[in-house]
Amino acid sequence: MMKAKILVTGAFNAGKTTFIHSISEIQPVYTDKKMLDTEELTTVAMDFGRITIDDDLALYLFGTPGQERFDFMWEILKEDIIGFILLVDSVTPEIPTARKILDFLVSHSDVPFVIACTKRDHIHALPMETLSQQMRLDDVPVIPCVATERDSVKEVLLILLREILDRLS
Amino acid sequence: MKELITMAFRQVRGIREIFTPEEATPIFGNIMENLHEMLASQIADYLLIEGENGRFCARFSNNGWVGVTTDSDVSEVLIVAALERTAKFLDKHRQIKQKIKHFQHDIAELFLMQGIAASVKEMDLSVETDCLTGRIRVSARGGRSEAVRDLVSRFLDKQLPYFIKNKVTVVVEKQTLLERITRDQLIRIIRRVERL
Repeated sequence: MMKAKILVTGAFNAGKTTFIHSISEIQPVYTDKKMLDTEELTTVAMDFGRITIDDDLALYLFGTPGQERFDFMWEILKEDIIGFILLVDSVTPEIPTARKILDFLVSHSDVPFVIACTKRDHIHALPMETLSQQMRLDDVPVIPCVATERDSVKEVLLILLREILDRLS
Repeated sequence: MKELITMAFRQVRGIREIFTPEEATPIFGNIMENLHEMLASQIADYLLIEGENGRFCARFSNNGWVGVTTDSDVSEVLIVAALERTAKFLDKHRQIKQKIKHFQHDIAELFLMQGIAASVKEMDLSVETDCLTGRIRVSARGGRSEAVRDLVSRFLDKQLPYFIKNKVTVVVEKQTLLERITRDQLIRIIRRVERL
C-alpha cells in the first residue's frame, strides 16, 4: 500500500493538532501531555491523522511537536514526506522558530511546502501581508487558515497537493 | 587514441611512427584527406607506399584515418591486420562515445523491464582510451542498493568492448516517497480531499 506522508509543522501553539483533527477521517492519535506550569496540553511526540483514498493508497498526516525541546522528532518525522505544511500563528507568529523549522526541513528534504497562517478568525490576527513579509519567502504560497474549520484546512492541503503535482509534472 | 592504436599494433615489431588526424601536421592532414577522396573513388580503404627506408601504410575508416611507418622488413599482412584492428577499436570507441549519451534512458528502461523501483538521478561519464570512468547516481528503494548497483554494473559491462574497462562508480541512494508516488496516485488523493 502506498502511504503518502505529509508533515504538519510549526511553532508551539500554531494549531498543528487542531489542523490534523479537522481533516483526519480517523480519530487522530495524539501524544499530548499537560504542561507543568500552565496545565495546557502540548504534543510531545507527534500527531497522526489519516485519509484513506482506496485499498492501496492512503494519505497520512504527521504533526510535529511544537516545543523546541522535542525538536529531535523533526529528524524522525521528516523521513519520506512528499511535502509539508508550516503553520504560523497569525496572532503570535513566533517567526524565528518558524524560520528555524523551515530552514531545517528545507535543508534536509527537497519537497514542496506551503505556509498556512492559522487563527485568521482571531480578532488580533496580523494582516497576511505582514506575515508574508516576515517570513521573507517569495515563491512559496502563504495561505490564510482557520485550523478548526475543515474547509479551510482542506484548502491548504489541496494547495500543497497541487504544488506536489506540479513538481511531478 | 595513440594508446588504442598501440594496443592494436602490440604484436607488430618494427613500427616507427603512428599518425592520427589529431597528431599529424595540417599539411599531412590535407594530403591524407585528398588520398581518402582518391581511394574512395577507387573503393579502396587502405594504402601502402614502399620506399628504400621503409613502408608507409594508412587505413581510412568512417572519415578518419590512421597511418603508420614501419621498417621495410615488416610484413604487409601484419600491418594491414593491425590497421584493421585499429579501425575496429576506433569505431567501437566512437560508438561507445555515442552510446553513453543514451545510457540514462537505457538504464531507466532496464529498471522498468525488471520491475525495479529505481531511477537514474545523475550521470557523468567519459570514455578514456581503455576505460569508461565517471559516476552514476541512482535512487532506489531501501534494501535494494546492492541489487541495483549490480544490475547497473552488469549493464555497463555488457555495453563495453573488451578493451574498454568499466571503472564507473555507481552510487545508490535511498529513493524518497516523492520519487515513488505517481501522478495518477496524486490525482486520486486530490480528488479524495476535494470530496471531503
